[in-house]
Amino acid sequence: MRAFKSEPDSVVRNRRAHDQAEEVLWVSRCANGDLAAFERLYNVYYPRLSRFLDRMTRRPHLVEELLNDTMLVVWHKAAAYNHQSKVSTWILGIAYRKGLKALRDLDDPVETDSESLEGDQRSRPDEALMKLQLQRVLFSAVEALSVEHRAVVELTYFHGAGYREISEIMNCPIDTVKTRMFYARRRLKALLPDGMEEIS
Amino acid sequence: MSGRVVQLEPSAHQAMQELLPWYVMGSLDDIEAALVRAHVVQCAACQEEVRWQETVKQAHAGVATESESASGFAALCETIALERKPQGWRNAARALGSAWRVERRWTGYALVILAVINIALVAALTFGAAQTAEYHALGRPPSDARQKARLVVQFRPDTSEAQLRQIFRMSQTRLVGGPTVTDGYLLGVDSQYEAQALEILRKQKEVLLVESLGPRSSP
Repeated sequence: MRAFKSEPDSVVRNRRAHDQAEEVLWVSRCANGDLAAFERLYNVYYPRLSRFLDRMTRRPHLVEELLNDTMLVVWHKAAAYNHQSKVSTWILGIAYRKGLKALRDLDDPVETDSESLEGDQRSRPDEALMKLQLQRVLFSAVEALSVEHRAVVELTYFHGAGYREISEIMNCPIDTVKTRMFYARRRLKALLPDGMEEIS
Repeated sequence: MSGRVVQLEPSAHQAMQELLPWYVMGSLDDIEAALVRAHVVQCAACQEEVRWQETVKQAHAGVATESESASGFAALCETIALERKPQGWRNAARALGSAWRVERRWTGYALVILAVINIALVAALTFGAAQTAEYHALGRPPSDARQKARLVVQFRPDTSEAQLRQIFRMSQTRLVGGPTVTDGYLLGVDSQYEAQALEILRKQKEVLLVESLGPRSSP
């Protein structure tokens, strides 16, 4: 079942700890005006932030601007980083707030994607394409969630954030994170076509 | 996995089920992970949920992400460089703006002070002038007029006001005082035209007498 688990947990944890220590060092250097350290931090976070902001806001044209706004805050506030949370938690928290603000400014309600999902259900794909189909349908279903539910799903499954970390990023109680995830799971299952969840 | 189902309290089952996404992702701490693992072994519903969670995890893991953006970082560096510039037009504009704000505040204060000074001056002139008004006899011209008067003239008693004005215009003189006790009028004239004015006035039939008040006056 765990096809992607190629490395032992201890190795993964050691690598993560090393990466986190390095990120803390880069943030400290940013606080001293070191642009080279800032560039390394930017390059490490670019893929994660672009993915997170894209999935969260569903506005690809805004991603680059929001990402740069986020990293500009990181640059300016590097001296204020308090080391109590992970660098990733801190940066994703800034990105989450930037994304929320952009959505509020747009004042664009989240629409559901149930009709397109029903269309997918009517045309059953070949077995060979089932996994790709699952991914596409799953992401469509995620897009139909509210922005808070979407953010919890993204942070959990793509960024590997724990529920405590997510509560820090989204600035909400832990129970709220668990409740949001619970309803997001239920909603995703309801949106997926029959038989899709059997594929794995 | 064992298919054995153990009945747990609904609240305990729900608590474990809530943690399953993070259990599958390996983001729980060791103690929580052990508790969930122990529950999943005994719970068929949670085993089913774990399989579903693995599917979701795989779907996310297969997504390619964008690589780094050189242009994005270059744009960010430009922004930072602009912020770092100590003497730019932005700073100059900002400085001017703050100076203008300070200036505007001080202008307000200055206007208030000026208004107070003006009121004080008007009051002083009004009351002060009344208290220190110089007394002089009816036939005596004010000191200012005396300083400016260069000629004294006597006109015929039947001279009209229109004739007087015509004589003043011709002789380029102006009335600065009079009449005196002897019906004399004090006339002012520019020093360079004084002799000419005397000559013109003496030729007028309405003029009985004209004399210069200056040191070079001639009888």
